[in-house]
Amino acid sequence: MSTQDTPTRRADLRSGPHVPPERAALGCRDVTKTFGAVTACDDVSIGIDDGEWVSIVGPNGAGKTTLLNVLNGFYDPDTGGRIFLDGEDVTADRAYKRARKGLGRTFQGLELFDDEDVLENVMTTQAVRERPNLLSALLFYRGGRRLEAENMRRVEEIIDYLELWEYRHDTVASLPLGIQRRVDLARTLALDPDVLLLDEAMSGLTFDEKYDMVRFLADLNENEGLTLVMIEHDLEVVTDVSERMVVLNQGGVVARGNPEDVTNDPEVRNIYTGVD
Amino acid sequence: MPCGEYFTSYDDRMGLIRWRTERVAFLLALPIPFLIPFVLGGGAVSMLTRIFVFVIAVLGLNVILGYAGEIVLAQGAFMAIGAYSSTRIVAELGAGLIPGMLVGGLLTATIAVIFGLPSWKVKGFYIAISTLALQFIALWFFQNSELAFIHGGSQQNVPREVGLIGDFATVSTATEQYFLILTVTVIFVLATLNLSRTGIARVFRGIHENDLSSAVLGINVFKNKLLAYAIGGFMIGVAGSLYSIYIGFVDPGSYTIELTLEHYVMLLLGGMGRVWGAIIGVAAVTIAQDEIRTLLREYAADATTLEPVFFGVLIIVVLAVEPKGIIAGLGQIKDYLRKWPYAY
Ligand SMILES: Nc1ncnc2c1ncn2[C@@H]1O[C@H](COP(=O)(O)OP(=O)(O)OP(=O)(O)O)[C@@H](O)[C@H]1O
Ligand SMILES: [Mg+2]
Repeated sequence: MSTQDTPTRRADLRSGPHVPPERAALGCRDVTKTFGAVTACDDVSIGIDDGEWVSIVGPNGAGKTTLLNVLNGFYDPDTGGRIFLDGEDVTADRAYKRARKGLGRTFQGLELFDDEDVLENVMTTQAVRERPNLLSALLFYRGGRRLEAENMRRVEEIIDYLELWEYRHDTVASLPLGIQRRVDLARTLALDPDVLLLDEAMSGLTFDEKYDMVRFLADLNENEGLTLVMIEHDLEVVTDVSERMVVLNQGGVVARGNPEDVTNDPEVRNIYTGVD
Repeated sequence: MPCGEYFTSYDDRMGLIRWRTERVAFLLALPIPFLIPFVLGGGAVSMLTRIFVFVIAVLGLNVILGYAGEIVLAQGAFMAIGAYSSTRIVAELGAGLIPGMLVGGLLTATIAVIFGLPSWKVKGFYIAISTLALQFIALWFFQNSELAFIHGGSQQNVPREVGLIGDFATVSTATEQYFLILTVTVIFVLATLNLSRTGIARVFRGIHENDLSSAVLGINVFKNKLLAYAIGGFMIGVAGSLYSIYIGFVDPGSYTIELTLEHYVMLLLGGMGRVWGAIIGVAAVTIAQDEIRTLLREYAADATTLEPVFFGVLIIVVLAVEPKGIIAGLGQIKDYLRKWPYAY
């Protein structure tokens, strides 16, 4: 499927990780993940630099979500694969520990606490960060009470920042998709993450909703220094916002680098337009 | 302009008593429990005492099931463990009611945690089965007279006159029992109300609703499930030891699967996950049960066997009409009254 005469630029697109995974804000080395006969991730190594905005693209079933699941700790990679967070090997840590170490993520299928309102959804995360001990919770004495008030204040800041104020008492399930995705973002931000993994955070959104989402993400990336890794199908958005992109196909990295170069790459174009 | 009352500060919003009407109602209702033994007859006091005991047990179930979402079917077993262990402490060691309750509660909490360990790997249905197994193991265990060296005897009388600690401050009359059990109930109601408005219950509700996203938000799902088992188990165990004091003896027949079913009906009817719901549910079911029993007895002596049918029908009706229970219905009325006479 590839042509014989390879332009020199294309060699770059086939080179290894941009940053050594071991020293990256988030990285993985030699990650393979098989489910029976299916190889969902095939020897993937990536390194994401602090403060970067990276997109992961690829056709359906390419292994994007699986890679995210391995990175955040839902799946263990097959033996030999290693995951690094801020230069630390976190392969042995379970998902909740990686979250506490600053790795946030959202879900493709929106896993919100549907029956609760926006405030409660975000408060749940905040409760994890700043949790009262059992005794002060049972007595609701000074410490516990002050903590609740502080948590509430911080959560309201986040809700305000994401312009969710008018929805704060609405049950999440009753809100439009665009708002629900923003609630998901709010809930993850309450974790105060350093790296944020977004699994198709813009899928199903209208143009305006996408615009809003990009606006918030850009602000977080530029002003708060949040490292963003997003899975995104909309190549226009990807080339507009991200500094680098990684293309996955059949579990493996096909190309990586500057979005313009990558999207013009014949092999990448072939994956997107080819029969499949 | 919004109408009705609104909160102006964080403290207001988090208070247990938040509305003017609530404050008035609370102050008016406060003396009632203390006057009841002097106003009502022995039958009513006895029924109220029973309600209080079950409130503690159902609040314990509410922590495990209503908050953490674990379907535990060992209510009878947990109460039996609390009852038998505290009876040994009280009758044989003579250590008094408070040590008895504490030991009963702690032992039950420990066993609840052990039977919660499978939640490391499995959830929902499997937990229900594993705790149902505990129910049958416990019943076999307490019925087995050869194991009396552990449980102290299948059937035992609880001493009529017991001190709170050792021989100090003895409790013997029905009125004294009433006040003791009322006090313990108030403590547990306040504790669970507090729990429900802090991060701990919020985390429980999180793992109940979605364990996947809970993990992503940094929640150690397994550890928190076990914490819910421990808190709930403790309360149910204490309720078990109070129940033995209330009945005056321990017998495996008081702690069957029917007791579990009864508590589920109470919690479902009142409103799962809600402290006031649990309280209302226990009271409503106990009173209705009493009325129905009297009614059935008038028609046929053995008609009491129809009681489980009554519970079964009640569960179905509640699930069909208002799955969130009485408390949700009351909430709608309250909202309506607060905004009255405006429609919004
Ligand atoms: N838990 C699992 N068990 C078995 N197979 C799985 C599992 N998760 C993913 N797979 C398989 O791994 C492959 C990659 O799936 P994945 O969800 O990672 O793709 P994706 O790139 O996220 O696709 P999409 O764009 O549709 O979200 C698919 O063939 C899928 O069927
Ligand atoms: Mg996917």
